[in-house]
Amino acid sequence: MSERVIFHVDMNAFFASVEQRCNPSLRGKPIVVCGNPKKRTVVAACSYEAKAFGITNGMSIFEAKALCPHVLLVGGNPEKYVDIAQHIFAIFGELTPQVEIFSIDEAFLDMTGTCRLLGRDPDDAARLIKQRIRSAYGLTCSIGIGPNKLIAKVASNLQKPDGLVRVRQAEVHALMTRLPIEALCGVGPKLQKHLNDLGITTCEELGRTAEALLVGKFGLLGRSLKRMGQGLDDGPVAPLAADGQAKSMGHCYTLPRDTDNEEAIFGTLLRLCERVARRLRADGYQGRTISLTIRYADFSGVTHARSIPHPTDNGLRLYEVAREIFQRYCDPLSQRVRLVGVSASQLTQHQRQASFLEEEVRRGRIDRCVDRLADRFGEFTLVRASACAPLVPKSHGFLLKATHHHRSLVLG
Amino acid sequence: MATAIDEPVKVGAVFEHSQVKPSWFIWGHRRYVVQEVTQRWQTKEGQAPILHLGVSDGASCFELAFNQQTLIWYLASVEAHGSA
Repeated sequence: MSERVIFHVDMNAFFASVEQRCNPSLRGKPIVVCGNPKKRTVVAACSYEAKAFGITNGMSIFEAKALCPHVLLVGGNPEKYVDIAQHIFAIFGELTPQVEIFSIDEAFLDMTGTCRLLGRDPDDAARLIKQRIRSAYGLTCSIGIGPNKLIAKVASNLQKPDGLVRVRQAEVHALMTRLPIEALCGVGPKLQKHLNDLGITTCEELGRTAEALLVGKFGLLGRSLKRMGQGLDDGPVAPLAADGQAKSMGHCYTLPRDTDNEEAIFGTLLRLCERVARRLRADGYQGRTISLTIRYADFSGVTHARSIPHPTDNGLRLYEVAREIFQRYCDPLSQRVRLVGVSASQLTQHQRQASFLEEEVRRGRIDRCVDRLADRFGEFTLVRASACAPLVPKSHGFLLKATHHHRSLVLG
Repeated sequence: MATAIDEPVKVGAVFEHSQVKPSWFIWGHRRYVVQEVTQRWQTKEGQAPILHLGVSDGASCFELAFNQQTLIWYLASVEAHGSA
């Protein structure tokens, strides 16, 4: 069987590059993309110039400034990055239908058929992709080409920025001989330490280690690790449409300040529940299991779940269950809360059965009304007053948000 | 860091090759000439598609937003070059 041709495309310092492209005066300078620096925020992305000072993603702004006092802070704009990413993924889609979106700035492409059909050298196809992205958005990417996803991802990491590295099947063994295990996708610091403790530091050593030893230490993962060490990966490039069934939907939020103010915590929780519920309704799902995550100021945290007899897509119902979980496992608070999260799982397609319960009927009508307003005027045009606590304490009913684009429609 | 403005502005633009390119805009009684369109992206506010354009006049960087439903241009934000 002839070799597969798998691309891994990795946009270089994506968020930071987009911002440098937007603002010419930021080009060539150390910048970090973050949230509002007046509130609690971290480095979401940094330019290559900032990386040269040792700044990394996830670092606090305080730490970043300590490493590079003249680093420039740029407020992030997720909608901008999502839209540009979608257009870039559309470029991939013009070359092959087998596109697996790995993250907002990474994708796998199965170019086996395309290269064969067009009689095109994979390197030429990769250069075409790079040229089209640069031409459309002024952005660079690193492309790794390999016989499988594992090798393609390793290859894209070998040359950054603006890299193009191809590893043929015959070259895999030589690559794995010198490759450290931490270069493999899925081997993080903890797993690396466990493997180091076994005397394994390179992929070749990992591939030569007895499977029984790895399985004994890591369970089923051990089998996968051995294959990874050998550069083997049969995983297909799986477009989202091939397995579009969502397994869960959730949202979490890091509070501006650690707090034990229950109004603030529950107001945030209600907003998150409404957001999850709207996504459920938009995609036609209902959830049976509701999970609540609380992370404390010391970064410890708990996650607890509860299943309900009737699946729901109603935000208030999600909130009621989440509150019950909180009261059972987190009340009273042992310390201040840093992050709140909620998710719905065990998803089923919405059954659309009429309910005889008056309260459910009423909630369903409100949900449909809120969704229609949000569809027309934007997210959270109508919000529950209690979700705005503590700004609007002890309130009932709904508040109408006026956006600047629709001010005349809302207030006129 | 960019300063949010969110004010309607008068814009002169050229529509060519399926793209819109602002040439100038007036904000605060001053006319700004666009030297470069640096980035484009789209969002939606409800049903309204909003086209966002990063533009530069050589001294500052602006984000113009065009509501394709109401046909109103807004100056979304401004950032002096080098300030970030």
